[in-house]
Amino acid sequence: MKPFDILKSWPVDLVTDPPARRALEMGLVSTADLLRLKVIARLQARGLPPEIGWSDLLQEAFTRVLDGSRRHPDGVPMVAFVAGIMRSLREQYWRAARRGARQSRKLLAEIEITGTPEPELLDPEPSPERRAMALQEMAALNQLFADDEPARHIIAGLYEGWTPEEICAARGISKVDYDSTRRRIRRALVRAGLRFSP
Amino acid sequence: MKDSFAEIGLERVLASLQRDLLAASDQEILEVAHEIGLQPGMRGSVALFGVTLAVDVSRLKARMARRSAEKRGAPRPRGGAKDDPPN
Repeated sequence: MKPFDILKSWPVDLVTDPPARRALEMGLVSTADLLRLKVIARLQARGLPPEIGWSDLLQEAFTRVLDGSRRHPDGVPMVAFVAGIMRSLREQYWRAARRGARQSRKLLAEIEITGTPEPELLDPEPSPERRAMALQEMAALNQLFADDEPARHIIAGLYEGWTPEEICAARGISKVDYDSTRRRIRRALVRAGLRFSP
Repeated sequence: MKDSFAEIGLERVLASLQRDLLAASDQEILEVAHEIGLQPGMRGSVALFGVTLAVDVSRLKARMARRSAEKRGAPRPRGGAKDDPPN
C-alpha cells in the first residue's frame, strides 16, 4: 500500500489541494522549498496554543500569498517571504489574543498582518500564558538535544542573545566546533521537522 | 536560562534557527529527508503531509464536537453486574 493510500484510509477529511500544493503547481516554490517551509512552520508553531497547528500556519501563509493580500517583494526569495508571513501571523496571533481575551481567540484566517514581513515583532506585553508556553517549548527544544551537550550550550547562548563569538568564549569552544554543532542542530531540526504527524 | 523573559529568549532561538534553515542548501534538506527514509519526489510522499495534503481540521473538530454532544445526550449505561442487588 502506498503512503497516499494509507492516508486515504484515515478516518479524517483530507484537503487534497491546499494552498501550498497550488503554490507548488504554479511554480512559486519547489519540493525542496516546501520541505524547508514544513520544518520552519514546525519551528514557528512552537509557543503557539496546541489548537493552532504548524500546517494551519503554513497554509494560511500561502493563502495570503495566493490571494494577494501579501505582496511578494522583488528580490526576496519566496521561502524567506513565506517564513516571514508565518512569523508575522504568529506574533499577530498573540497580539489579537491579548486584546480579545481568551474567550474570543481569533482564527488565523481572521488575523490581519500589518507592516513589513520582518518588523520588530515582539509583543511588548506578553501574557503569562505565552511565557509559560515559551518555557515549555524551550524545554522541548532542549529535550531534542538531550544527548548533545554542546548543542544545548549553543541554544542556551542564543536564548540569551549572545553572538557566536560570545558563545564560543563563554563555553570555551572553537569556531570550528561551533559551526559543526550548528550543522548538527540544523540537521536534527530537519529530521524532527519532516517526521510524519498531522 | 532566565525564565522572566522566556518569550523573548524563545523568539531569539527560533529566529536564529530559522535563519540557519533558510541558509541550508536544498541538497542538505533532501539528504536528511533521504536519511530518514523519505522520498519527497514520490507522489503522495509522507514527507509533504500537512503541506501538499492536509487534514481538514475544521471538519474534524466539528465531527469531534458532534460525537461529544451525542455522548452527552446518550442515556447513561446501567451499572455493571457487581452493582446489581443480589438475588
